[in-house]
Amino acid sequence: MSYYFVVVSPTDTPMFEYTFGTSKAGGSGQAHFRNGESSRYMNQFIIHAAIDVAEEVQWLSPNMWLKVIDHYAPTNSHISCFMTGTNVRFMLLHQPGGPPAAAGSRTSTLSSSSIAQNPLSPQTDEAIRQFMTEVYEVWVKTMMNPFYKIGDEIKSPAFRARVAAAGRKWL
Amino acid sequence: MGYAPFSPIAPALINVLCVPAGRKSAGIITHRAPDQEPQAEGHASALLFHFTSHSDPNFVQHTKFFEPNRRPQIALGIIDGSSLPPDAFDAALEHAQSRLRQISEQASATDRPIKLIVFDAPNSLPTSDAVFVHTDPDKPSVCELIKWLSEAVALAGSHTLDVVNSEEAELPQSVVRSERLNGAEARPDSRTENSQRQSVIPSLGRKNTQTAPVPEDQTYEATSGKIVSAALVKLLIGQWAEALPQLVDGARAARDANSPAWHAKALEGMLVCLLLHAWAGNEFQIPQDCYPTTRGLSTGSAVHIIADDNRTVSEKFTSTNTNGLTGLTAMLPGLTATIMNLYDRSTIGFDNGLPPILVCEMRVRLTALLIILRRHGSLLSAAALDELVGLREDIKLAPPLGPSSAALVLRSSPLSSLLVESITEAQAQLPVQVACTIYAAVGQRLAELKLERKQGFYLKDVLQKLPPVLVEARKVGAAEAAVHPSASGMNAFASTDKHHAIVAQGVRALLKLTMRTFNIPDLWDTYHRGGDTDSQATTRKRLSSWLSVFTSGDIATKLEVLRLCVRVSDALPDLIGSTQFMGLLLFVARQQITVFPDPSNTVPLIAMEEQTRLANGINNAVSATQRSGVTKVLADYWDDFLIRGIELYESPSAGKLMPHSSQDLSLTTTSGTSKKDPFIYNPFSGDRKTSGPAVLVKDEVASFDVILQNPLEIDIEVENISLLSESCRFEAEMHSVVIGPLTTQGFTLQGTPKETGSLKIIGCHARIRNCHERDFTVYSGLWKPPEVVKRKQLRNIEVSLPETRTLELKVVDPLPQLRICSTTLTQQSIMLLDGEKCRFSLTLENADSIPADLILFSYQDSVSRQLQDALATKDLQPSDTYELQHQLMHRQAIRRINHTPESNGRSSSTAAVEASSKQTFEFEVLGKPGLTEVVVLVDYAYLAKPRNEVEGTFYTRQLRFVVNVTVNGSVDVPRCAIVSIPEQITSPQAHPTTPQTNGKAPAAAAENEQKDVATNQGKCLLQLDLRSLWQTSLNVTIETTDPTTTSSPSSETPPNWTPATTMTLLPTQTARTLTLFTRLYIPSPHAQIPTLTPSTTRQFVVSASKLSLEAELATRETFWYHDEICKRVRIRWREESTHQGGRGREGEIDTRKAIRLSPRMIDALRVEHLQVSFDLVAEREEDESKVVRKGSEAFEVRRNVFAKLIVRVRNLGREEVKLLLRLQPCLADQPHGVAMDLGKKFVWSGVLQRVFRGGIAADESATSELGVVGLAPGSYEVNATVEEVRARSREVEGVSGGNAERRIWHARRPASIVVVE
Repeated sequence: MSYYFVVVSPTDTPMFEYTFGTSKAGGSGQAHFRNGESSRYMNQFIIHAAIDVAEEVQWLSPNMWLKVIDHYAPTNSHISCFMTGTNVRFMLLHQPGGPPAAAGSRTSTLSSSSIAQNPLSPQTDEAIRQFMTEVYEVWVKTMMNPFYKIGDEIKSPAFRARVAAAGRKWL
Repeated sequence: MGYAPFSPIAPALINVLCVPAGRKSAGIITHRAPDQEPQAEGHASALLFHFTSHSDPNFVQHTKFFEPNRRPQIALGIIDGSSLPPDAFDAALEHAQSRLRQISEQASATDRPIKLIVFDAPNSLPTSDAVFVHTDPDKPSVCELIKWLSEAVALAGSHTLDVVNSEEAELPQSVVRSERLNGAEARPDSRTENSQRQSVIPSLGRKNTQTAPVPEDQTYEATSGKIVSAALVKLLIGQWAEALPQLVDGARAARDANSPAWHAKALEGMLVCLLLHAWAGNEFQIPQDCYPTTRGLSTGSAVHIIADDNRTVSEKFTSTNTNGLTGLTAMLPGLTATIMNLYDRSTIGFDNGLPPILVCEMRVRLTALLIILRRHGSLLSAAALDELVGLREDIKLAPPLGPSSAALVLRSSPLSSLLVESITEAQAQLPVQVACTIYAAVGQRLAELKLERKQGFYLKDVLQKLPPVLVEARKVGAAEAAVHPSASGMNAFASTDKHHAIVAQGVRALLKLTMRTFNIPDLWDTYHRGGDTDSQATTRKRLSSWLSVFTSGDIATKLEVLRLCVRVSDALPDLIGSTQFMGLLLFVARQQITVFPDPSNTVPLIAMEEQTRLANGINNAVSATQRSGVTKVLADYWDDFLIRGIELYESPSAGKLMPHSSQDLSLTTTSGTSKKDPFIYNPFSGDRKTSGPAVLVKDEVASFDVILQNPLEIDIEVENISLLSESCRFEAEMHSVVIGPLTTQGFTLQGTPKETGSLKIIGCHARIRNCHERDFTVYSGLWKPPEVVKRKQLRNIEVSLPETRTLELKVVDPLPQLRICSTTLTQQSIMLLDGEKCRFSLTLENADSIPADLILFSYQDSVSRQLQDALATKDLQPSDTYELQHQLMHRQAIRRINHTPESNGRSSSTAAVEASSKQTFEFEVLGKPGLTEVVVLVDYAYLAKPRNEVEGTFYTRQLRFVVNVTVNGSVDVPRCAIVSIPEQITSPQAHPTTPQTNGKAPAAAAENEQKDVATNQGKCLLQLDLRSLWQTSLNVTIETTDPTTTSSPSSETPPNWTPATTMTLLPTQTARTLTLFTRLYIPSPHAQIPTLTPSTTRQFVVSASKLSLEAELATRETFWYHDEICKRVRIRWREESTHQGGRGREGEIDTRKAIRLSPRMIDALRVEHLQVSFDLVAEREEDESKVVRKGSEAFEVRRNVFAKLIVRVRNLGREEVKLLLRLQPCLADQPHGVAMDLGKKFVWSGVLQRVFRGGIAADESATSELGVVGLAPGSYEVNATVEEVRARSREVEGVSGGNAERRIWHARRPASIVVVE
C-alpha cells in the first residue's frame, strides 16, 4: 500500500505533505503509486477533490475521525480524513499496492484482510485511526511551539520524523 | 447530439432540428431558438419540444425504437426573410427548401416533417409552403407555427406508431444486439443512410442469433419492446394517460421476458409520465410496478446506498398515500435505484447488453432528477417540477432542511459517487470524444451539488484528455489539407476562419471555468487595452486575486491546472488563450509582489527553465501572429509593480537649482566691496537643504532615476519606456532596457519640460516585449501579504496596495547657464606661507542667450568651518570668543578683490554676465594655518528686473570652484615679553633742556611737564623672539604706530606705520628683537569684552563665567591691553628675493596670535589713572641755583637750603576723585628700620598727610607743597601715595560682587633728593 498524507489548513493550503509506503508485510516503506510519475500532482488533485466530501461528511458525524470519505476508482485510491477542532484536516490517500483492479469494476477484492491489501477492512480503518490519533498528538505539540505561526507550513523535522514513525508503526 | 440525453424528462421531449436554411441565419438561431421550449396546451397533456441546432448521427439507427426521439422528429429551416432578394423571393425559398431537405437527410430524418420558417419576410405569401414569423410580438404568426407543430407531431406520431407496428418482428434483435456492437466498436458513422441501415441490421442480427443464449426469450422480449416503444411514442405525442397503462403492461412483459433493458426503459417512461402528470396537475395513480422490489437487485454498491437509506421511508409512504406528490417523492429514490440496477444488469448480464453510452446517459439523467429534488429540499414542489420539465433554470439552492422537516434526506456524496461512477464507466468503455460529453454533463451536475472541487477535478480530467485528441485531429486535418501538422494551426489562425475562432473562444471559456473551480481568478477583465492607466482599483483587484490564489488551496495544483490550460491552448492552437494563460502562469508563479533590494528574494514557484519556456512560448505566439499579419496577439504583462521608484537625477555639471525668496536679495550686501559680516546669515552660502518640490528648467533636458523590478528569473526586455507626466507639457524620451533576473534595477530616463508650472511624474508608460503597452504607477513601498488563517477571512481580505509615489516638480523659466571657462590658477591648487596673500581670477562664460544679471559670490573654507564649530560650543571665555570672531571677520581666508572701477563705472555689486560673453572676477586667498581648501560659490540667476522689484521665489544656479591650498609656516613668534625701561636710560634723552626751562618760568615748566605726562607716558620695550620656518631667508620688519600722535582720531584712516625694527632671518634661525614701544593708557580696562556677533548681543546678560571678580578683572584687563597692543604693532616679512627685484613672497604675521600678555607685562605697559609727579624748587629766589633737577624725579640741593617739594597729581580718569596725599620721606637705599631715622638729617615743615581740597576733576591736576631742608648731605627719597578719601564700590559691567574699598595709587618712582655741601 502506498500512502500520501497531507495536513490541509482551513484555507485549503497544504501545511505538511508526506509520501510513504507500507512497512508491514515486508513493505519497503517506499511509495509505489500506480499512476507513476503523474502521482506527484495527481494525488494532490484527488485530495483537493475530496475536500468537498469532507466538508459534507463533517456535519454528519460528531467524531473527528471521519473514516474513508472518498474513493477515486481509476487509481483505486481511498481517502481517509481526520478533522481537528480548528478545521484542519489530516487527509490520507491510500492505494493498495497489488495489481490494479479492473477499472470500473465496483467489486472490491475481499480476498485479503491485510492492511496492505484491503483498504476497506476494519483492520485498515483501525490502523489509520491510530495513525491519525498519533499524528494529532504530535500536531498539537507542534502548534504549541511559540515559534510556529498558525497557518504556516510545518517545517519541523521532528514533526516529520514523528509522522514517519507513526506511519511505520501503524501502516 | 441532437437530443437532450441528460434532461430528466428526456423520453418525453420532441426533438426538433432547427437549422439555418439561408444566409445570415446563424445569428437568428443563436438568438431566437431557445435550447428547450416546452409548450403546454392545457393541463391535460402537453407537447414538449426540444429545439436544437445540430443533430447527432451516432447510434441513431439502433435506437430507433428504444429511444425514438434520439433522431430529429421535425426539421425546421430558419431563414431571414429580410436578407432574401424581393424579386426572386420564391426562387430563394425554393432553394432554401431543398437545402433543408438535404440537411434533414444527413440527419437521417428524411421521413420527418420539414418546414421552412421565414422571419421578417417583406410580404407574406400565402401560396408558399413556409411559415412566416415576424419578430415584433405578432401573436398570430407564432400561433400559426405552434399549430403547425402540433399537427406535425400528430402526423409524425402516427407515422412512428405505424413503423413500430409494421416492424415488430425485427425490433428486439436489431435494437439490442446491434447497439452493443456499435458501442464496442465506438465508430461514429455519420453518413449512414436509411437504406444502408436496413441492410446492415439483418446481417448483424444473423450474426448475433448464433450466440444468443435463449432464443425463445427473444420473442417475449420483442413483444415487450413493441409495447414499450409504442407507449414511448404516445408519451412523446402527449397522450400521457394512454401511455402510462401501456408502459405498465410493457414493464410487466419485459420483466416476464427477462429483458432488463426494456424493463428499465418502461420504468423510466413511467417515472417521466408520473412526473409530467404531477407537473400538469393531473390526478394520477402510481402503478404498483413502480415500487422497488428486492427481487433481482444486484449488489451494486452505489444503488444500495440510496435504496437502503430510503426504503423504509418509501414503504411508510406507500402504505398511507399512494396517490399524489408525497407518494411520488417518496418513491423516487427507490425507483431510480431500480432503474439503474436494471440498466446495469442489461449491460453486464448478457452478451447483447445495452451500449455503455446509453447507460451513462441514463445514470446522469436519473441523478440529475435526484439532484433537482435535493435542491428543492427533497420535496416535489411546483418549482421543482417546473425545473424538472425545464421551465426554470435559475433556481437557487433551497436552504438545507433538517432531517425532521423533510421526508427524504438525499446526501450529496452518494449522488456524486453515482456521477463519478458513470464517468469511470465512460472513461473505460467510450472513446474520448463521446466520453467528453459525459464528463461535461457530470461536471455540470457536480456544480449543482456544490461540489466544485470535484467538478474541477473532472474538468481537469477532460482537459487532460483533450490535447492528444486535438493534436491527432490536427494531424488528420493537416494530412487532408496537405500541409505540415505544425503549420496547420497557424494557417487556421491566419485564415479568417471564424469557425476556428469560435471554437477557440469556447475552449477558452471552458478553460477559464476550470480555472475558476480551482479558485484561480480570471484576470482578463481587469486589463485595459490601449494603454489606459490601470487604476489602483484594478491593480488592487489583481493583487487580491494573487492573494486569493496564494492564501487558499494548494498552489501546486493551481499551477498544474494552469499548465494544463496552456497545453490545451497550444494543442488547439489558440494563440490568444495561450498567451493569456502563460502570462497568468507567470503572474501566479511569483512568490513576492515587490522585489526587495537585497538579494534575499524568494524565487518564483516554477523553475527557471519553465519560466524561460513560457517566455519563449509567448514570444512564439506573438511572432506567429505577426507573421500571419491578420491580427496581432499580445500578452498582458503580469507585473503591476514594475516601477518601484522615480527620483530626479541632479547632474553635478548642470548646477543645482536653489529656490530663494525675494527677501534673500535684500540680505545680501548691496556693496560687493565691503567685507561681508560672516555672522550675518547669507542665504547664498553653503549647501542648504531645500524643501518643497525639486525644480526643472523649461526646455532643459532632465534626467530621472527609475527603479524597475523583475520578480522572475528571466530577463525582461522593456522595448520602450518613457515617463508619464501630468498637468504640464512634458516631452518624454523613449528608452529601452533589459531588466536582469530577480532584481531591482536603476535606469535613467530623460525628458524635457515644455511649459512652466507644476509638473507631476506619475509613472511610466512602457511596452514589455510581446506584451500590451500600458501605464505603470510608481509603487515605492514594500508589500507583504496579510495573514489569513481562518476560512472566514478569505471572504473579505482587505488588500492595501503598496505606497505609491508621484514626483512633484516645478518647472521654471529658462535660466542662464554659466561655466567657468578659465582661471589664472594653472592647477586648482596653491601653496601659501602663513600670512601670505595670493590673488587669482575666474572668468565666467555665459554661452546661453539669456543674460545672468544676478551674480553673487559666497565662500567656504576649511578654517572657517572649524572656527564656526568652535564658536558653536558655548563654554568659551568671552576673550576666546572674541578672538575666534575676530579671526572670522577680519582674516577671511578668501575674499573678492574689488575690481578697479571700469570705464563704464559699473560697480561690481551689479556683477552680471551678458548673454554670450565673458566676465572676469578676482579673488584673494590669505594663508592661514590649517587652511586646506577654499570654495568659491557663484550663485547666478536671471531676474529680468531690478532687485527691489523681485517678488516671490526666484531660483539661482550655483557654480562651485574649489581651490586646494597648502599653507606652510613663515615666521613664528615663540616668545614675547614687554619690559619697562629703567629711569636712567630714558630720562637724559627725555628731558635734555629741563634746567633751562625750569629756571626761566616755573609755571611754563610745570605746564610742559604736564604735557609730558599726558602725551609722552613713557616707553617700554617690546621683546619678540622671531623664528623663521621657511627655507629661504626672510626679511622681517616690525612696525608700530601710535594713534595718539596722529592728528585725526578717526579710526577709519589707515594708521601711520613707522618701521621700528628690521632684520633678516636665515632659515630656522631664531632672533630676538627689541622694539621701543609707548606705554598704553586704557581708560577703562575693566569694560566688558565685546562680541562681534550681532546676533548674540543681548541687552541683559548674566555672566556664566565661574571666575572670581579679581580673575575676571584681570582677564578683561589683559584683553584690552592685548587688543590695544595688537592694533599698534605689525610684523611683516618678505623673501629676500623680493628686494632684488624678484617676485618673492611676502606677508604679515597675525599679531593677535603672536603676542600673548602676562600680568607682569601689563604692569610694564600700563599707564595709571593718577599720575604723581614731583618738583623741587628753592624757597627763596637767591637759592634757585642751589636746587638742580637731575632727572624727571631726581633733584640735587645744597645743604641748609630751604626748598619746596611740589607734588602734582593728575587725574587721567573720567571722573572726579577726592584724594588724600601721603608723603613718606626716608633715607635712600637703606633698610626700612634705618631709613626712617631722619632726625637732624632732613626736616620738613607741614604735615605729611593732607587732603586735596575739593577733589580733582577729570583730566585736571592738583598740587601740594611741602617745605624741606636737607641738614646733612646724603641721598633722600620722598615717596608719595594718594588714596581715595571715601571707599566706593566699583561697578564693573557684567560682573557681580566686589566689596567697597579705597583705591590707592603710588607714585611710579619716589622723588629722589640728593643733599650736597
